[in-house]
Amino acid sequence: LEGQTVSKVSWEMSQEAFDLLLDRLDSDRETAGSKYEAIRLMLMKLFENRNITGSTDHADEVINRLTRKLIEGAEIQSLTAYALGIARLYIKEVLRGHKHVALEDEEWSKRLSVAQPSVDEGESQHERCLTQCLDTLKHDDRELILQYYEEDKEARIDHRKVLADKLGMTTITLRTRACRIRMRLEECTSQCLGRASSAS
Amino acid sequence: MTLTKQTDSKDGQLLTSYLLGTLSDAERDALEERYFEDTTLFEQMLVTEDELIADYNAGRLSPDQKRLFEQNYLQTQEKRDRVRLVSTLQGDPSPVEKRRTEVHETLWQKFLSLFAPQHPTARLAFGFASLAIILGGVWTVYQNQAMRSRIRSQEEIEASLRAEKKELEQRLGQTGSRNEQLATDLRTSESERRELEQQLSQPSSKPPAIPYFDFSGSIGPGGVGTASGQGKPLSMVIPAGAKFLQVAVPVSRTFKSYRLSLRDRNENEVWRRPELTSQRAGQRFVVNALLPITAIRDGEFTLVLLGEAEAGATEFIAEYPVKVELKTK
Repeated sequence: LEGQTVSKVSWEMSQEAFDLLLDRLDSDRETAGSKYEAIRLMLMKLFENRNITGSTDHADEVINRLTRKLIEGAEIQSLTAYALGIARLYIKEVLRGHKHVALEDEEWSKRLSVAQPSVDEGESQHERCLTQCLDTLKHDDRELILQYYEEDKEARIDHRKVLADKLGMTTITLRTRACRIRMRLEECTSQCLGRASSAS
Repeated sequence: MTLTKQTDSKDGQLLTSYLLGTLSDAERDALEERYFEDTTLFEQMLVTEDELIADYNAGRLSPDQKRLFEQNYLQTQEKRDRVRLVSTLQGDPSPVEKRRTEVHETLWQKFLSLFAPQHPTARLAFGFASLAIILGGVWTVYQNQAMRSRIRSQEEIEASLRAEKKELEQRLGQTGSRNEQLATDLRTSESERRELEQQLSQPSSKPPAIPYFDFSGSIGPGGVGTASGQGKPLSMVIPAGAKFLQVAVPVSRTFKSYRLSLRDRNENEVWRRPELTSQRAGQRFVVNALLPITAIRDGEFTLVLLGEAEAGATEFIAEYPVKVELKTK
C-alpha cells in the first residue's frame, strides 16, 4: 500500500510527555531510551510487514497515541502490548482509507525493475550515498558488513561461520550485528538520497 | 538437535512465512504478539529478513519463495530500497569493492604447501632455509618500518607544504578578486573621465555647471543644496542636462585612503568610489568625488564615507542622508 493517508491526532509530543513515557519504560534513562527505540523499531516493522509505507511516521503516531493514553492515566500493564493494540487499530484506520488492488503482471515488472535497477544515474547516486555512508561507519563495523555480504553464493552458511569464528563471536551475534549495521546504512543512505534529490 | 535449535528452526520457518505473507491472519497476529514481547524473537525476525533478501538477490530462493517474495515482500519502496542496498553490498560495485578487505588464501601459501618436506634431511634443510627466510623477513620488516617512518615524516612535510600552498592560493584568490574590483573601478573612472572631457571640450555650447555639494554645509555653484539640519536628508536638486555632480565630504581623521559609497533605501550600493585621497580646503580637509548622474534617480539615498587603513581594513567615518531631485527642464 503506497501513499495512504490517515488523519493523525493533532497532538505533538512535548518534552514532559516524552519524559513520562521514558519514566514508564524504565527508571534508568539509558535503558528507557533503548526500550523506546526497540518499541519504535517493532512498530516500524509491523507497518512494513503489512506493506504500509511511511512506517517511521506511522510508528511515531502510535507512540504519540500511547503517550496520550499515559497522560490520560490509562492503566497499562505492558507498554509494548498496548502499543501493538493501538497499532492494530491504527492499521485499520489506514486500511479503511485504502482499497487493496491486485497488481497486474506489467505492474510487477515495473516494480521489480525498481528493485533491481540497471546501471543509471540513480544507481550511481545510490552507490555514492552508500559509499559515503560506509565511510561514516566505525572501521570494525564497515569491515564486518562488507565481509558479511561478501559470500560465496553457494556457501553462505559456511562463510558466515568462518567469519564469526574469525571475529570471535557466535553466528547469531554476527547476524544480529550485521543486521543492525545494515539498518544504520539503510537509514543513512535513505537520508543521503533524500538530500541529493532535494538538491537537484 | 537440541530443543532450542528445534524451536529456532520452527520459528525461522514461521518468520520466513510471515515475511513472505503466507500466514493466516490469526497466525500472523499471534506471531506479532510474540515478537512484541520477546526481543530475541524480534531480532531473529530482523535477521531472517536480512537473509531472505540476500537469498533472493543470490537466486537461492525456490521458485515459489521467489514469487511470494516479489508479490508480498517487494510491495513498498522502503523494502525495494533495502533489497537494492543489500544487492549492492553483495555485488562488486567499484566504490564498495575498494573498501573490501578480502581474506583469501594467497598464491604464496599454495606455493609453500607444495614444498612440505617428507624426508628428515630435507626437513633439516627446509628448517635452515625457513630460518634464513625468517631472518630475512625480520630484516625486511625492520627496513620496512624504517622506510615507513621516513615516509611518514615525508608525508607530514608534504601535508604541511600542501597547507601552506592552500593558504597562499587563498591569499592569491583574495588579491585576485581585489585586483578585479580595482580594475572595474578604474574602467568606470576612465569612462567617466572621457565623458567629462567630452563634455568640457564642446566649445559650441556652454557646458552645464557641475552641481557641487559640500557636506560641510556650503553649496557650490550650479546646484542647489540645503543642509536642513542634523539627521534630516540634504536636499540635492540636480539641474537638467547635468551629467555629474561633485561631492565634498569633510574628514576628521587621516586614513591611507577613503571610500565613498551611495546606498539606496534598501541598503543596495548604487555607486562607489574607492582609493580617494583627502585635500586641503581652507582650514579643513575634504574628500572630493565626481558622481555620475546615471548612478542616481529621484529618491532618498545615503552617502557613506569609509576610511581605508594600511592593512586593508575599512572603518566607518560618517554617513549623510540625501534626497535627490533630478530636474527635467
